[in-house]
Amino acid sequence: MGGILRYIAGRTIQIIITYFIIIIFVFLMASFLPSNFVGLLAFSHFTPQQMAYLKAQLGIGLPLWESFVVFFVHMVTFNYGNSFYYGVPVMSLVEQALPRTLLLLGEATVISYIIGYVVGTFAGWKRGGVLDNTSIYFSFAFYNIPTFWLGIILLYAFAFLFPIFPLGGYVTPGIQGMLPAFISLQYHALLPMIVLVLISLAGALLLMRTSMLDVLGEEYINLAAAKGLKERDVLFTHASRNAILPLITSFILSLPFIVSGAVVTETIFSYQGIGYLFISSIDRLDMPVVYALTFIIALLVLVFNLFADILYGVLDPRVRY
Amino acid sequence: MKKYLNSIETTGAFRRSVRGVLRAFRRSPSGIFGLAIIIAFVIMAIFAPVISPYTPDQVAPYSIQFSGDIGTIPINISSVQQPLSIVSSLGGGVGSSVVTNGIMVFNEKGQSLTYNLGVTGGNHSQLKLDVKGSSYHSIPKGIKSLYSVVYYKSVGISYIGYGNDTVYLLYSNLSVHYLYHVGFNITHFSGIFNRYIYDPYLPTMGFAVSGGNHTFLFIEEGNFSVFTNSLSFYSFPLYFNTSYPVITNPLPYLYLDHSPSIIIPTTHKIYDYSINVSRQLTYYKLSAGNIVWSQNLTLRDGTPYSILKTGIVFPAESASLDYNQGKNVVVVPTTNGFILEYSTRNGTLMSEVQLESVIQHTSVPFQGGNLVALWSGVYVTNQISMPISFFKPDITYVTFWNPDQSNFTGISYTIAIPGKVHGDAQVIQSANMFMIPTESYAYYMSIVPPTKSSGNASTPILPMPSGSNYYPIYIGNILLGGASTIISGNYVITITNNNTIFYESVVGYKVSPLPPGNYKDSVTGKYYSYPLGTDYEGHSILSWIVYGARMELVIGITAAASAVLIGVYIGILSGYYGKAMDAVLMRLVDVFLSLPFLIFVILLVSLLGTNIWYVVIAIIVFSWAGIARVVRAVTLSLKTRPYVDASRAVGASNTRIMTAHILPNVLPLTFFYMSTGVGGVIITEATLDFLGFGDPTAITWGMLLQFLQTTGYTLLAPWWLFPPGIAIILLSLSFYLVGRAFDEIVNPRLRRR
Amino acid sequence: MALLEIRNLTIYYRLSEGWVHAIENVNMDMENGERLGLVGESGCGKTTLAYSITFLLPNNAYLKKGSIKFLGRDLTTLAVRKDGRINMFSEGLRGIRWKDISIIFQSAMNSFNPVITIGDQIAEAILTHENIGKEEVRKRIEALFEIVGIPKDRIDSYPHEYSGGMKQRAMIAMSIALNPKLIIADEPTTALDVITQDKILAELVKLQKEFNSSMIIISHDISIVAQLSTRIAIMYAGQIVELALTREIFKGPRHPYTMALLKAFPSIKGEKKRLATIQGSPPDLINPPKGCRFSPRCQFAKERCLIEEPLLREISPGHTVACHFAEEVSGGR
Repeated sequence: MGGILRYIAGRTIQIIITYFIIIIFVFLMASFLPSNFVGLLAFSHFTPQQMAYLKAQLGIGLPLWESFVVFFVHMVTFNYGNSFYYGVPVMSLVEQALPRTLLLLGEATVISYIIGYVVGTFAGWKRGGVLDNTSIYFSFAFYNIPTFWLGIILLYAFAFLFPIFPLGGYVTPGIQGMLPAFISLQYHALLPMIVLVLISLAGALLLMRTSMLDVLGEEYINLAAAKGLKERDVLFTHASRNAILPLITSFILSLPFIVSGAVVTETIFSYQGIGYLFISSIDRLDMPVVYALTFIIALLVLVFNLFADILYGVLDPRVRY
Repeated sequence: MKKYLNSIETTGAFRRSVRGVLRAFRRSPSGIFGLAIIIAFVIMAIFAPVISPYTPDQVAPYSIQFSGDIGTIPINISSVQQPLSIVSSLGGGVGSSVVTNGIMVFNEKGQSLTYNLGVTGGNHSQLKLDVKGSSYHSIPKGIKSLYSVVYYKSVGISYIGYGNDTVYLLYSNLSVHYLYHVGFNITHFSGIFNRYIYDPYLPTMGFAVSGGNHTFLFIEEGNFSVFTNSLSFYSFPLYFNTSYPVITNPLPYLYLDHSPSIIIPTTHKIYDYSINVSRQLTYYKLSAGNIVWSQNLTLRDGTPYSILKTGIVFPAESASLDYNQGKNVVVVPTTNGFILEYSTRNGTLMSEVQLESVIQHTSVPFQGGNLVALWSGVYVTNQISMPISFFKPDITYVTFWNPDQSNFTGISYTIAIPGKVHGDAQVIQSANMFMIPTESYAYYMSIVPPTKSSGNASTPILPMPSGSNYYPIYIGNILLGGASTIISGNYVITITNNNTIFYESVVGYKVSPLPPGNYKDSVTGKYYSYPLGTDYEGHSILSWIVYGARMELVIGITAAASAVLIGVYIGILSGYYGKAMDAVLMRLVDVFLSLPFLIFVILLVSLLGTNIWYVVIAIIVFSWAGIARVVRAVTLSLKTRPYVDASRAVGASNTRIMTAHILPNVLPLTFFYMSTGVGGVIITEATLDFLGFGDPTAITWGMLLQFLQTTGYTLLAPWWLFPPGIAIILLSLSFYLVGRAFDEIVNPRLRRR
Repeated sequence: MALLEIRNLTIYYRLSEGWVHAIENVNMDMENGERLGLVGESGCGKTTLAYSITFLLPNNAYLKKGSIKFLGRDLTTLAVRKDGRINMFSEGLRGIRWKDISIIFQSAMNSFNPVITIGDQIAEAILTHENIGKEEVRKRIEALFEIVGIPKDRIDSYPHEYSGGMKQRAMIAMSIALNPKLIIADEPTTALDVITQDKILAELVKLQKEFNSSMIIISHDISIVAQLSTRIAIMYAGQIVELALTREIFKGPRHPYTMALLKAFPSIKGEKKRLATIQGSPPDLINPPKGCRFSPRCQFAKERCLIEEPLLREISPGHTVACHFAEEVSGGR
C-alpha cells in the first residue's frame, strides 16, 4: 500500500513540474512570437481597467523577467482575475463550464470505451468474421471523419431533417427545477455525446481488437480453452482482461485528443462547456479566460493521466510501485 | 540514393526487404484501395484545370446568381412618334435616394407619355415593376433633352430641358414656366446643383448648359436667406455667361469650388473663374496637359464663405460628395493616365499620380494612352475616399482616391468590359453602385472598395437591348407601397428601337448557393455547368474540390513528413546517446505529449497569424513528440544489436552508426506514422479552418466548409456540405489504409498466423 | 478398450493461399498407461495431431475426415460440423477437457495468465469440472504443490513472481489436478536449462506412473523422447512414417527418415563424426508431393516412391512403417 502512495506522490510532483514547464512554455510563446498577445494589445480596444489588469496579472508591459514572475505567480495560484467580456471572475465562468464539459466528456469516454471493450473483444475473437470486418470498416471510417463535419451532419440529419434533437445550447432556456434541468442537460448533451462516442469508439475499438489479437496469440488462452472453460470465460476472464491493458495506455495517450474533440464538438453544438468558452474567448481576445482555460485544461489532462496510470496499476499486477 | 544505400552494411537485407514489402503490400486489399484513392486525388490535383473548367475564384455570372426584375413596357406609339427619350419623373425623397413613381418618354415633336409605376411583390426577391397607367401630354417642340428635378418642386419646376439654343423650365404638367435663348448651340447640361450650406448670401441651387466654348449658368435669385424648406422666393434666372478662348473637344463640364469660382476643364486647360463682387471675371490658366473630365463630381465644403453680395457656385450632379474638406482642390484625370490635383486657390499643381503605378491586381495591364477617361465622384458612406474610374472603350479600371491624403488608398481592381462603352457611367446611390453601359450589357460595379476579405467587388452584368439610340439611365428606386419607407428596385431604363421601354432592376435576389445543375446565362447565352453546385459567391464547388486537393496533399505530406522527421531525429538522439540528453529530451517530450493538442495548436496559430504555413508549423510543433517517443524506444532496442557493436569496433563514428544502422531500421516503422499523419494533418487543418483559425486565402476544403458555416447555409445547401467532408474523409482514410497496410507488413504483430 | 483410437485422421488448415495439409490419414492407437512420444521436425504435424485429440485447434482448422475415439467415444461427433469446421467450445468437449485430457504446455513462461494468481488459475481448472467449496479447492492445491515441490505460500503469487522452473512445476501440478487419463506434454523441456530438465523429466515419469495416466510427449528432440516414452511415433509432413517401441526405433529404424533423424543427433559416446544433416527441406504442405512425401529427400528413393503413397504397415509385431522398401532399408546405428 505504501508503494502506491509513494507512486502517487512521485507522479504528483512530476505533474507539478510539467505544469510549471507548460506555463513557461506558454509564456515564451506569448512573449516572443510576432503577433503575440501583448502585441495584439496594440490595436485591440482594451479599456484602462483591462490594461491595468493585464499589467498586474500578466505582467504586460513590464520587463521580461518581472513580467514572467507576475505571470507565473498568478497562473500557479489560479488567480486569473476577471473576464474582459463578461466582467465576472474567470474562475466562476470555469466553475460553470467545467462540469458541463466533464459530464459530456466523461459519459462519452466511458460509453465509447465500454462499447469498444465489448465489441473489440468479440471482433478480435472471431477474426475475419462479420463483426470483425464491420468493426474494422467502422473504425477506419470514423477514425478519419473530421469531428466537426460529423457534428454538422448529425445536426443536419437529426436536428433539421428529422428534428429529434435540439440545434444547440446546453439546456433549454427558462427551465426550472433540478430534475427537469438535469434531463434537459442530458437531452442537449446527447447529440454532442453521440459525436464524441463515435469518434473515440473508432480508436478504442481498433485498439481493443488489435490488443485482443495480440493476446489471443498467447499460450494462456490455449490453456484456458484446454481447461475446458466456456467460450465466454476464455474471452472475458482471460483474453480481454489482458487485452484491456494497452487500452488504458492508449486512453492516456489519447486524452489530449479527446479534449480536442470536445472543443470542436462543443463549438458546433454551442454547448457551453470549457471548449466552447475557449474558442469564443480567443475570438473575443478575452485574455484572462484564454490563459486560464489553457492551463486548466492542460492540468486536467495531466491529472487524468495520473488516474489512468493508477488504474493500470490496479489492473496489472506486474506493475508494482 | 543508391550510392548511399550501397554503403549501408545492412544493404542487402534492406533492399530485399523493400522488395518484399512491396510484394506483400500488393496482397492487402485495403492498402491497394487506399493507394488507388490517393493516386486518384493526385491525378485530380494535377489535372484540376481539365476536370473543372472553372478556377476556384471564378464566380458564376450575375444573371445566374441573381434573379432580378427585367422586362419591357410597350410604348403606345399611336400617341407619340419616334425617336423617343426618357426622363424619370419625380417621386419624392431627398439626398441619396431618388424615389421614382413614374417615367416619361418624349420626343422633339412635343409629344410625351407618362407612365405611372409601382412595384408588386411581397418581398424583395419577387419585385416586379407594375405599370399603373399612362397619360399623354404635349410639351414644347424642340426639346432634345429633358431632366426631372427634385429640388424645385416648391417653385413648381419639375423639369429642365434644352434643345438647340433654348433652355426650358417646365411645370409638372409640362407647361412652360420659363424659356431662355442662350445664343449658342447647347450640347451639355451640368445637372442640378444643390448646396446644403446655411449661408444666407449664397445661392444654393443652379444649373448650367454649355456648348462649344460657351457656358451659361443659371442660379436662383431673390432674397437669400437661411435655407429652409420653403423656397418660394427662388426663381430663375440669374445667369452667368462665360466663354473661353480655346475650342474644347469634347465638351466641358462644370465644377464647383469652395471659393466662389467656376472651374471649367477643357481638353487643354482648366479654367478657373473666380467671381468677385463686381461680376468681373478673372481667370487662371491651370497647367496644360491632356486633361479629361468626368461627370457627377460634386464638391461640398463646410467652411463659410466670406460674405459676398453675389456668389456663384456651380455644382455637378445631385450626388453629394464629402470631398476634401476645406482643401479647395480639384482632382483631374488625364488621357495619358495621370491624376492631377490642383489647388483652386491659385491653380498650382499639388500632386500628381501616375495611374499605372496605382492600379494593382489587374488582369488586364494598363496600357496608358488612348484613355477615354470618365471620372465618377461618389460619396461613399463613412469613407473619405472616392472612386475614380477610367475606361478605355473596353476596360474599366477602378481605383480609390483618398482626398485627405491626396493619394490612392491602394485598393483597386479592374474589370474588363467586353464591348464598347456606350454612354456615361451613372451612379446608383442606394445600391452603392455605378452602371457602365455598353451596347449589349450594363455593367454594375460596386462603389464600395473591396477589402481583402470581401474579395472582388461584385459586378453584376445585366443585358441591355442592343440597337438602342438612347443610353440607359438610372431612374431611381421604386417604392414598395405608397407610404412604406422600404425602398427597393433600383431600376435602369432605356428605350429600344422597337418601341419598348426596357427596364431592369439592378439589385436582384441572390439565389446562390446554386444547387448542382446546368445554368444558362441569360445575358451571354452561355451554359455554365456546376455538377456540384456553387457556394454563396458563385464559386464552383467542384473547382474547390479539385484545386483544393493540391493544397491538401501539399500541406498534409509536408506537415506529416516534417513532424516524423523531427521526431525521428530527436528520438534517435535521445535513445542512442542516453543519459543526460535522453533525460532532458524525454522530459520535453512528456511535456509536449501532455498538452491538449488542438488547444495549443489554436493558441499557436492565433499568435503566429492566419497563414497556411503557420498552421502547418503549429501542427508540426505539437505532433513530433509522439513519434519521438516511439523512435526512442526502437532505438534503445536497436542500440544493443550486434551489428552496432561491430560497427563501433570497426571505428565508425556515432553519426555514422545512427544514420547507417539505426535510421534505416527505424524508418520503416515510422512509415505508419507518416502515412496516417497525413490524414490527421488534413483533418486538423480543416478543423482549424472551420473554427476560424485558418488562412482565408487558402483554397482548402476546410475553408470551403467554414465559408458554408459563416454564410449560414450549413443546413440549407447539402451539395456544399457533403463534398468537402467526403473528400476529407476519403483522402484521410486512404492515407490511413496505406499506412496500416505497410504497418501490417513491417510490424509482425499484426500478421496472420 | 484402447484409450485412444485414431483412424484416417485428416486435418487441413485454411489459409488465404490455400489448404495446408497438416495431417493426412493418420492412424494411431494408444493404451492406458502408455507413454507415447511424437517426434518430428517443426511443421510435421505432431502438435496438430496431439492437440486434435481435445480439438484445441485454431479457427481455420478443418477436420476433413477421420475419427478420434477416446475411451470408446468418437469425439468427432461432438465437435465437428458438416463442413469440417470445429466447434471448439462444444459442451461435450469441454467436459472431457482437463478432466480426462490435460496438457502441459510448451513454455510455462507464457502459459499462465499474467494478471491472475497461479492459485486462482489452478482453482479455475478444478472448479470448472467439480462443484466443490473454496476450502476444498485450497486443500487440493496445497496437496498438488506438495507433490511437485512448490512451497504452499506461493499459491497466491502471480506468475511473474515465479521462476521458470517453478512455473513448469506449477504447470505440471495443474495438469494432474483432476487426475486425467491422458496428459499431453508439449515439448516439456524446451525452455528449461539442462539440469532442471533432468529433474522435470524424472518427475513427469514418476507422476505418470503414480497416477496411472497415459502420456503423449511431443518433441523435436529425439533424445528426450527416448528417455520418456515407451513407444515412439515418427512423423513427417503430416503423416506417421514409423511407429514402434522406443527400443526398436533406436535399435532398428526402418524408415529412411527415422534413420536420418537418428544420425543427425550427435552421440557423446563413439567417435567424433561430422554432423549429418538431412538434405533438402520439408515439403510445402499446401501442395504436398505425390507419392511418398519423403521421397525428394530420401537416399533410397525409387520410382515407385514418387508415384505411390506408402501406407503404414506392420513390418514386425508392434512396429509399423510407411515405406515401400522398409525391408530392404537396413537400419541401426
